[in-house]
Amino acid sequence: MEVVDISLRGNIILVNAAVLFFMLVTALTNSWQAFGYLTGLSLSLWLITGAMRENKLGPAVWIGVSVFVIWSVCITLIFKYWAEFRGQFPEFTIAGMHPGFFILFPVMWLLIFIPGTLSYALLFDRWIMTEDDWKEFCRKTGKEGEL
Amino acid sequence: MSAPITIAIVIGYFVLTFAIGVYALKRVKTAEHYFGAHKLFGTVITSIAAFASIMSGFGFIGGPGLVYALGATSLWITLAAPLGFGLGWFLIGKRVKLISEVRPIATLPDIAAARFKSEAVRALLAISLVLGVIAYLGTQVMAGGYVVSGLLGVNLEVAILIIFGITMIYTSIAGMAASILTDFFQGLVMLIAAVGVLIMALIMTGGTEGLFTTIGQKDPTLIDPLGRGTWMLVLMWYFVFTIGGVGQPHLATKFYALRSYKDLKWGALISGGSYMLSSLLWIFVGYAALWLVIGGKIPALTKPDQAAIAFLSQMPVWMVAIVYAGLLAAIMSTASGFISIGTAALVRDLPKSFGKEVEHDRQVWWGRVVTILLTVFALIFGYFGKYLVAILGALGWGYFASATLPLLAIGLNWKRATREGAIASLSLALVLNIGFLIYEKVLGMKMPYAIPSYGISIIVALLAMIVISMFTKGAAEEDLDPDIRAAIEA
Repeated sequence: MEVVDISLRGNIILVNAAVLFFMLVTALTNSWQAFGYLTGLSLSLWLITGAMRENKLGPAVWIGVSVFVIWSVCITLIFKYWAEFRGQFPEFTIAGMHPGFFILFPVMWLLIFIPGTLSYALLFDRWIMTEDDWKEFCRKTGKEGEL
Repeated sequence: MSAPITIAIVIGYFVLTFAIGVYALKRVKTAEHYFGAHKLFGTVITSIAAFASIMSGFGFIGGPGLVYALGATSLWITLAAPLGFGLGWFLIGKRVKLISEVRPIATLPDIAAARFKSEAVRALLAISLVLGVIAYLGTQVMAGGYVVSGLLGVNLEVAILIIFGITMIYTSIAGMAASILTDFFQGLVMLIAAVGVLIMALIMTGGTEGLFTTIGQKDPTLIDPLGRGTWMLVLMWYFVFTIGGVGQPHLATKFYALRSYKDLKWGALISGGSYMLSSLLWIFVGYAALWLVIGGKIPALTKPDQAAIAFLSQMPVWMVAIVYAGLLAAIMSTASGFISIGTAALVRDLPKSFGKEVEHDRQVWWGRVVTILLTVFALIFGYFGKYLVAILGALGWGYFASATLPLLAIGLNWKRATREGAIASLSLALVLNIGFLIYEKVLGMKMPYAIPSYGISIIVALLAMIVISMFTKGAAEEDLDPDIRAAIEA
């Protein structure tokens, strides 16, 4: 088989393929807790894939790690409180909400927004698409002066 | 029939929407403007339009109904937004925008064909889009008709003609430009409705303390983080509705409508933030309806989908009017986007893929004709289709995601992704979705552990793209066109 030079981003996609495969296995065997953590890992890898450059991770790794950590901590707590108070009114509530529900909404919902979506605007000018990136793109496509 | 003020506000909404849609014609100068609103709008309009087209009528009626019936189960769909919109911008926003800067892009098949240098990919994607569009529109016909019929006191057939006639006319006149501009207006209406509903729901129930305690003491399952569903269901839903957002054509098409690459910057925040705000309606209306029933203020609902209507029955008339306008906005914004996408696939992509391109200066004319034909066909299908609508209606979010996600999320980020991988993933997506449809809807079988079948389809399609690409070479690496390569490397 021909040796193929795969970029760093390509390698991350391949790792994600392995994660997706195991997601399929855990889904079909109802290993929902494992599926849950793999879901967070896959989504984090997708985020890194989109946020990184071809061979440079830059802040993408921090965005991905943040999402994975937030997701993993939150679903661990969600699973814990769901199991602890299953079928009964919880021993304590937060603003009237079941503690597991409160972690799901609003905690995880708001926390994931920061690295998952807000970070795009914060990183845009200095990482995602700088002026130099734009000039380089115009140069590579022969569109300098036109765009 | 509703109160006079409700009717007046709804009619006012219809008139304004129509006027805005027709006004968009001023922007349409080329076929690319008509089919894709190519480089026509800035950040705010496009981002709000993106959120509006994603938030369909389901978020106003179906979602609260599921909360009423199942508790928190369905929330794992709508709570995916904070990550889903970001993923869309990160994974494909920049790349789609850059490609549209150097190519006359007006459709997703245009992008797919440019990336994979394949008219077969264009054709397969166009067919997939048309099938999904017709299936989706079919499900909206009766739903939209019943809403307008109840509001205006007209019969169902007239109601269907009103809501979809208006949508058809402005979309036919100004294509995607009309769709985006009206989506922007409709998005604002939805936001006002959502915020109003949230405030009223919390006032009515005494805040989250009163709301959840009342419900929880009657049935604790309804307030826990899972509800009556299964963990496999909710976790797969979260996955499907985050990553799946990237593959939704009505989101992806917005990127080439942006005027400049700089317009990408605030898009995810505006779009995602708007969706998060409007999803509060999904969450709180369902729970508020439960609170009303448990508290004996209204009788128990015979159907969960009545939850939103039951909640509105306790609201002031002006609030009801705004929410109904929001609901109509949600239905029409998604419908117009899909009509535009389906028309573009039929007029531009399918003929092109068979080597028979419609003359460029006739494309807009044909676009108008096909918009009308497509809408009429969808109306007939939706009205008479019944059993077939119920089956095909399941082709929705997951179907689109499994078709386009491999092409966009992988194809635009990985130079190693090949034409053969794209064709394989597209074909598998179609076969799997239709196969699961037959398995579940025709044969009446159930997926194990309540796994959403489209989750399986999405994962398998992604794997197919990656694995097949490792063993093939078409349109990969050195074979990429230089401008496509530059967009992927940027």
